[in-house]
Amino acid sequence: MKMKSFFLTLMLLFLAGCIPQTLYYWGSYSSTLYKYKKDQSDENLQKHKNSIKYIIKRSPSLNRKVPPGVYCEYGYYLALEGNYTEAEKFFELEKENYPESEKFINTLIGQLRISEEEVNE
Amino acid sequence: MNRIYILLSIGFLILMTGCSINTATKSSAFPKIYKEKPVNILFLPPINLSTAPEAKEYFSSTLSETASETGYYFLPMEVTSPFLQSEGLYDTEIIGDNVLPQFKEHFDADAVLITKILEWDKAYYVLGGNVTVSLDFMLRSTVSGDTLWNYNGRIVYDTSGSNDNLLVSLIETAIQTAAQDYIPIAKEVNRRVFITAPKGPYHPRFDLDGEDTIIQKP
Repeated sequence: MKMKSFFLTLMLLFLAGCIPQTLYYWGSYSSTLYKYKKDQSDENLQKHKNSIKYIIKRSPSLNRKVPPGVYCEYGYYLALEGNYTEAEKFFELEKENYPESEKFINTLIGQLRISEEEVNE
Repeated sequence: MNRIYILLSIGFLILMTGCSINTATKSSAFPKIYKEKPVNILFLPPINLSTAPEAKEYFSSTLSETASETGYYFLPMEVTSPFLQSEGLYDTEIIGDNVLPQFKEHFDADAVLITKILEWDKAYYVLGGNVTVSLDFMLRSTVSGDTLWNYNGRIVYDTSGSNDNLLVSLIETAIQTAAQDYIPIAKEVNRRVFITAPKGPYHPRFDLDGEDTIIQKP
């Protein structure tokens, strides 16, 4: 029995060594984005948004940082839906995690504020 | 006995000469990227030079995921694309050197990634099929205008089934070629090209991979 456990542990260690470790977890991002690009329906957009939401949720439990651009893209879709307050939270998270994005994110927030004011007028 | 070894050695040497490949270290192939150390990279819209219009979508959908593994910060393509359009910078094919500083100004990008799809050819034959994909990537500095990294990759991916039964194989091939998921293929080609790029600041091997070897283009 001890022997069996020993071999099982050994096998698991061997397998762990074989699994290529990636920097980030992307889930089904590429597939849902492809489907959305092919057919820009609301349904496909929601599916893509959900895949991004899942990346944000799952990455910390895998001890990985949320990939570059993911917070920003999620915030962008929220802003397009008119949910500016929630969108800005994700833009801030992008800046916190990737400080080099600050200049672009600030420009983006500025532009989105202008379009928000245009909508409200 | 010795003669056999000598013959085998000669045979091996001939074989090696026949399939000799040129290798180079990353630091000797791409010295400028080690000097400039870009962090923030902007994707420019892929240029599709292949005969398959659908190739652009397959390719652009898989770029973010595969590029991020290099360890640089890539600005999100789905957010930057509308901005590039509004600034009149979307038509990558006609963007000249004088435009490069604008990417620094508007996006704070240290470099831009220019991507070209050279081939996306699907071939079908009686018992199978394949797809040949070839890509060319170029990273250009928005500060110096220099090419920091350039590489291309080509892959022939077998899309045929492996059934001994002729009739079943024919049906399988027909189904697979119609409903083939090209996303994994596009990812694989991207990965093969990106693996040659010196690692960026978010990668644990940043600035440590200068002596890694890559296969040089013929």
